[in-house]
Amino acid sequence: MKGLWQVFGHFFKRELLLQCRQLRYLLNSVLFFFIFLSIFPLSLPYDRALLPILAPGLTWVAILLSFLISADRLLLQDYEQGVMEQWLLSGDSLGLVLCAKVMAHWFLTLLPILLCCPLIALLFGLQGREMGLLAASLLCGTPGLLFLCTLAAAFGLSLKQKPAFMALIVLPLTLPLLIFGAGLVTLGMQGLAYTGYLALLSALSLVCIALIPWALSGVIRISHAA
Amino acid sequence: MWKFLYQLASPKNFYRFTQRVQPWVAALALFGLGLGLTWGLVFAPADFQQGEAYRIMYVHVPCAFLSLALYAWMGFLAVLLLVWRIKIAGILLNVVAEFGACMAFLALATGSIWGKPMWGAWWVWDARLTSELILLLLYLAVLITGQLAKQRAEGDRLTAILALVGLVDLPVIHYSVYWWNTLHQGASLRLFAKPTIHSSMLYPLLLSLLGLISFCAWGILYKAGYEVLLRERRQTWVKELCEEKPA
Repeated sequence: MKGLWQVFGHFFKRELLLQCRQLRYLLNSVLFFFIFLSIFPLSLPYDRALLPILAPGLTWVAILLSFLISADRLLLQDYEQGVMEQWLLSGDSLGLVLCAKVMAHWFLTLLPILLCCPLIALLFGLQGREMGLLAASLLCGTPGLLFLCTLAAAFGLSLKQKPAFMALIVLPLTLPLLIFGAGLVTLGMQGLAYTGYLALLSALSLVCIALIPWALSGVIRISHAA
Repeated sequence: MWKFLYQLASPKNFYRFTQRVQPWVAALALFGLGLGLTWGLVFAPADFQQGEAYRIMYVHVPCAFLSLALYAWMGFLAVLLLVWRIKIAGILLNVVAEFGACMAFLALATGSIWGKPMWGAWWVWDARLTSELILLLLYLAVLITGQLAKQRAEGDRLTAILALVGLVDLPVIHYSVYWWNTLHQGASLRLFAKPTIHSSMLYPLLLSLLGLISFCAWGILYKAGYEVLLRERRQTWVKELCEEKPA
């Protein structure tokens, strides 16, 4: 019987390897994120004061949509190829396996997103400090967001209709993350204290990392029992 | 008492329980709502600041209270279903979610109607209103999950997990008026402290609250009874019951 860290490490490395061999999917979601964001400065009236104010909220909405669209592929491949059944039978903690999987995905999506931040700052006219705050908010908030989108995808595994339904499930749960993440950058832009929001955002993400795997494993067991 | 509760876990006993208790709960609802709402809407004194328009409180507060209480009950039922696999809890979960969603919507609607003359706005993005909106969306998500599952039993368990994940919103709504600088007023009714509302307004409020709780209880028992019959339709006791009553 493997130790917990060994199980985590094994599945973490497996997921990194798998995704690195299929980088086109990752590229797809990052491209969506960036293109979605770049549409706004083009279609909104050109107002140098307006765009920086909108930037945090729009970035967070773009991240949410990008995760929603790509969340499906997190679980679908393993579900369809029967790998998940093997996980259920293996005796390893399913929650731990899923945690390793989603964390690996998060590490892989983090770098492209952080690389996009300077481009976003350019598009929306953000200062260097504000861009740093945006990057910090994304760093602290995206783990929670990814776990919640994975939960929505897990519900979609066994149910009939996926896309619109997933958005409905995920939206109420992610609203706190969106509010704190965007609010954090807005506060920073106004010169107010933002460390409280940063702490809350990180706390929400940590709670998601710790508890959502159990909900995920419950949902996956139910999808397989049917 | 525990024996009584254990017996309720059987569908047949639960159905008989709903049929027996329904008339009493309906009577209580009629009494509570009838007396409470008449007293509050007609006879209670007008408010010093808000005048007569505050009377919508007698509808708004019970609806808001119930939207939270029903979600808390759903959380409890979810635990019963997932841990002890009591199937009645699964049936009740969906029925309670329907009523909870209605209550949350009504709380938001009556709140908007109250807010327009008082605050000058139909909607503000303050903490309590936003978190109550999140609650309504959670209820809708729970209801849709229940509908979409291929089998009802599987749907119940998925709904239970979703209800548990959303349970974290409840303390946020309750404490939102303390944690943030909100436009919505603070709590006048507290569990362990004297109410800050005058007794001439308190009593009709409590009566309306009791009446609406009884109404929801009656409705939930009514719908749950029929849902039990529907799911257990292949059992002998249901067939006997249907043959007893002339069509």
